[in-house]
Amino acid sequence: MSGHGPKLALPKFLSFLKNRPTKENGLVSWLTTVDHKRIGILYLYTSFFFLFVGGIEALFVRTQLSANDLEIFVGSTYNQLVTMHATTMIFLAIMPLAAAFFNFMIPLQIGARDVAFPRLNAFSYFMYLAGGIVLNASWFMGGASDVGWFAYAPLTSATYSPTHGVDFWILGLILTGISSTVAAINFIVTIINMRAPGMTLMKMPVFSWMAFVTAFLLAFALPVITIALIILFMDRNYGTTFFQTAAGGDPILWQHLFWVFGHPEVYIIVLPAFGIVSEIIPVFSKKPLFGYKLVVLSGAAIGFMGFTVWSHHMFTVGMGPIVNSAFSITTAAIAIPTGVKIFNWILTLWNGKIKFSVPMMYATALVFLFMVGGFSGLMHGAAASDFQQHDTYFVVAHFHYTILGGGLFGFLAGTVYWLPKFFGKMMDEERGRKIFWWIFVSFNLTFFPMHFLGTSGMPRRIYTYSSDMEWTALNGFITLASFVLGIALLVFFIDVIKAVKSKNKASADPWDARTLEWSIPSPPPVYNFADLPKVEKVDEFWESKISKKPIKTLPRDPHGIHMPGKSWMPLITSVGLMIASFGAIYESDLRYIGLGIFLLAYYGWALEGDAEYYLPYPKKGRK
Amino acid sequence: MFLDFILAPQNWLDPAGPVASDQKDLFLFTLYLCLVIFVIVGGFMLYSILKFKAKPGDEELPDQSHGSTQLEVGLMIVSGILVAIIAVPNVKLLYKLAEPPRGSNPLQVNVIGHQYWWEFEIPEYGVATANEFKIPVGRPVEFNVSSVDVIHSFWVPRLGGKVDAVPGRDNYLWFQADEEGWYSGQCAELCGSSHAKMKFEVQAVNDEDFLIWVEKESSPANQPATDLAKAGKDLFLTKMCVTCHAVKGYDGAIGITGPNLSHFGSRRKLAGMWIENNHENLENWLANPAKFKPDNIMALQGPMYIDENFALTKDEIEKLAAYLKELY
Amino acid sequence: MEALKLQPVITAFSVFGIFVCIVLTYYALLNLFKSFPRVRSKKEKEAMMDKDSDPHHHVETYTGEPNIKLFWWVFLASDCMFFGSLITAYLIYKGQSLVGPYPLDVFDMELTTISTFILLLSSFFMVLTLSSIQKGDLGKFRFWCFSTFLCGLTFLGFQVYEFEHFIHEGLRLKTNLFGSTFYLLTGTHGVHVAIGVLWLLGMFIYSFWGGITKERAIEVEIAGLYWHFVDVVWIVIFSVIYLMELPIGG
Repeated sequence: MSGHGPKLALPKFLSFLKNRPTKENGLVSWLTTVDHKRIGILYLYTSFFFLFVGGIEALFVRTQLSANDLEIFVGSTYNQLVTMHATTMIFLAIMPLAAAFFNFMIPLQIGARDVAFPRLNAFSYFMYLAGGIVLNASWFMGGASDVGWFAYAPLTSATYSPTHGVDFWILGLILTGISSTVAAINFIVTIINMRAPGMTLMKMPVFSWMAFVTAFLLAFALPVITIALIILFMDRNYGTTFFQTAAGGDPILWQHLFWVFGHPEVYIIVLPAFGIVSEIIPVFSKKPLFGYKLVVLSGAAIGFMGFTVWSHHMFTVGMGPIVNSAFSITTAAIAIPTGVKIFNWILTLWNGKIKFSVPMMYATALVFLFMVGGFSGLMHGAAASDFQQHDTYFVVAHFHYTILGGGLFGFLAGTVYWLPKFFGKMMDEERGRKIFWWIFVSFNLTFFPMHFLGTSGMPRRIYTYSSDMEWTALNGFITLASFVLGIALLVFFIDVIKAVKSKNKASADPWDARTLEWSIPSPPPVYNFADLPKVEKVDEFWESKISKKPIKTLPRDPHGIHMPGKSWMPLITSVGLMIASFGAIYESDLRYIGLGIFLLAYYGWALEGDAEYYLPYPKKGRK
Repeated sequence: MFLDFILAPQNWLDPAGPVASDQKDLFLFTLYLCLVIFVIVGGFMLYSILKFKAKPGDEELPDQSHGSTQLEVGLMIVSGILVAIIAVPNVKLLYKLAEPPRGSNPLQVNVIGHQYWWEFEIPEYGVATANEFKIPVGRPVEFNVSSVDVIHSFWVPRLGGKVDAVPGRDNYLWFQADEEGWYSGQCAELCGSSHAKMKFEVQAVNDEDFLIWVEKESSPANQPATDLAKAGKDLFLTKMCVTCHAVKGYDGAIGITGPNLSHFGSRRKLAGMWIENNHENLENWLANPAKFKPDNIMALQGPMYIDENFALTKDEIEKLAAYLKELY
Repeated sequence: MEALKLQPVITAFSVFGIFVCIVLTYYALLNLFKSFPRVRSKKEKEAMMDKDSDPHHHVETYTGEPNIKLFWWVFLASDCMFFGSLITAYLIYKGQSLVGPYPLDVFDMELTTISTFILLLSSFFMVLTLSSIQKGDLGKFRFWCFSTFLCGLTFLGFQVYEFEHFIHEGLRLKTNLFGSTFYLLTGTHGVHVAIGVLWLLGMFIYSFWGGITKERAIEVEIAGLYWHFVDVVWIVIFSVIYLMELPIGG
């Protein structure tokens, strides 16, 4: 972690640390991996798994709502399903899907062999898994959190939520929060410090740029919610008074702290997807991205402005017309940089020669769907009419259009686009088209009617409704459509597995693309680039194809290809923290045991050093 | 069948008062603006996708334009103008909604949210009731909204937007009903297991009927007439109902944990405005309130549900129901 | 004759000492700022490479700064948001407690001034620690490293003493808003100091195994970065919590 240098100085009793794991195959190789590509694959599979967990929770919710006065899942059970559906989807499915692509693609796009801190990268993955385990353990250990994914105080206090569900939720999110914060800093350092020579920031691929902005958002927003979670935990378990009105505390403080994180969070979800679209549209239009500079700057602007709008989630809390006006204005202002992106994508298509492969279908669908979601968002931003829209299904429609239409569609596009690079296989084009249409149509049939449920006054998070509310027909229809969507997404994933297991072999550059990751084999060798590239222009790979000149490379290191050593420490530290979390929830000695394991493994990590090794270069001309 | 929602009792696109009407206008204004932009931009996109499809076999590259700063800046300026256009009516309406028109003599109503029922007080007339109240037509009503436990949200969609009921805080809302009728309201902030069942209703009536209602509500409760009801009244004390419920004129019935039952018999619905207030429903409710409202306080803390010594027999339930229905 | 009152003398020394330490810490930070991450010209990078006597060194970073230093700068920026949220919570609830004890009931300004001085002194020692190893003087390194460690430990000792005193006065975590926000904010800071103290001890011990060398002075530099950050945060906390309670002109 501290740079390269002379041999490790360890006393005899610690010399076992020098024996680093070396297995290349099998379970152990995955548990000790520090290879960003493998970590990306781990994130990909794990997030799809949680996507289905969250999806099943959603289908249970939809089943309960399919008709009036049903009693399949009622009261607290229903609230647990709703809370966990949202928490799972946001923290365990969508964010890690973005992480999967960050992990795999960023080093490849910037011409590096790995990220700045490979072991820390593995640690991020295992912490995510640990957080997912803690969150879902609650189902089997007394019930999950049932207070909604934004967990407003004082409903979350020990008085009104006496069981452990909320504690599991808190600790699970602290673990995933550490995972993401550390990963964000890792990517920031990687992007600043490990770009190929000549690749100024303004020559970097847009996806890496959006990852860069997202990483800053994560690094600055996550600490705020971590504090909120900690003080909530203290209120619940140690009697502090942060949100206790009887002691003068203000429940609204929770809302402020939560949403200062919560709003940047949604840009954390959507900016990577925008980055993927900005990669795909130029490739399949055979033209450069229109207005690269402004697209990049608008991404940075959205990131920055995302920190100025949080109270638009709190318009009905009673902050007064001055504050409500201010946040309405800042909220509406974000439409401007978002518009820049949309216009530039369309202008990239204009005058292009468009090939509608499956990734392009998802990417263009995203633009339409995000527009729908973005416009309903703009409508919420008008505080005076938001007093009607807030906490209704109109909002539910809005955020599903932006998170699924804007986020998930981007990641589905990325999956199809980059699968050849991940696994060296192409997905079936014909099946892919059919699956796309199933997903696209069922998605719209599920969520568009929710706008009407919202305007006809159906609030969020109600487990049932009476027949005279006139919501029955729409709800029944939405439930049917949601099952089709669930099945379609399952089929998509099955198709991914089919492709991975198939015998086809993808070429290095199956899409005739523009960025550096396509200049190396599919899948890449463990060292990514045999010869590290030097860059002169944006889309250097494309330029080299056009001019038929090979990409310039750096001189070879006389020692060989420098690789980071594998390690058990990322896994062990994560396990330690996971055990400590269970201990904290039950106030048992486990917390000290867990912390002890963490500290031991932490020192092991610090003392074992980089243990880098060298691989021989392949023969010149071969990759 | 799919268009049923247009007739929904909480359809705020069918406003019945000036506040909801103004909010609907702003909503539709932003909607139409967005719709126009969507059609233009989306249409452009659709057109590009169709017109610039690559012809099979065509390997030639299109013009590799990198962009036009002028065009982009122009589009940004246009977006900025559109955004500003939305901001103006929004800010104006926010200030308009901050208080009722000058010189309009608003009625004051206090709203207190509980898990899972709404407490309403009209201090001017000494009215204290729950889940159902009346207002005069054509007169603005100011609400002071708070909560005793968790955050709820007070919302009557057809009359106006919502405001949160936050413990330790006094929030404010006003609206006015311009048409006589019943208006359905609902809690709009997740407040626990029975959030879905925390509904209420407000009826807008003419001034005369309002005064009649207020007169009745502020007067002491009826004395029971039938024997069954008289027995029920005794049970109301011995079964500890009085510790949580108030009945005006009944010595010792001054509980504030649960709704004021002084004129319970005249309410249209019960159990959070869920089911009709008739004998059968009332008896079912008394037998097992948790069935209608999971985790409600009465079921969780009422001695007759948690202490065997106080359990209610079918006979006792019948008597209590009779008493309650006579609290007209 | 009246017994000489020690307290005002110590306080005066401490205040003077704080000013000296602030100047020294500023100097230390200035040194750090000279190596603030930025893109360097080719010449600068080559000069840096020459200074680097490590024959194995081959990886050139885009900015010329080692990854680890960049990592810590970004991490500390993130940590600022962490402390920022806690300080915000404190400020929002300042003066809102419904019951006592209240800050002026329990604060011992002189004591805290002394402990602040000690922490700032430790930052100065940290600068000396770093410059010792940058010159390759292992002996001096160990001396100043241990001194920094002692100062940090003393500061923690003062904190523990102060907390015990407050608890004795009736101020606990759950007593009131002041208790909750105060203990959490200063406690979090204390945990950061404790981590730093362990880090310093670790470096001290590691130096006996040959683990601290001139070539890897960067490792000491980042410990210094962390330590100075913890110090700066304390200055903010001290001002917001303690100094802001003093009546103006008092």
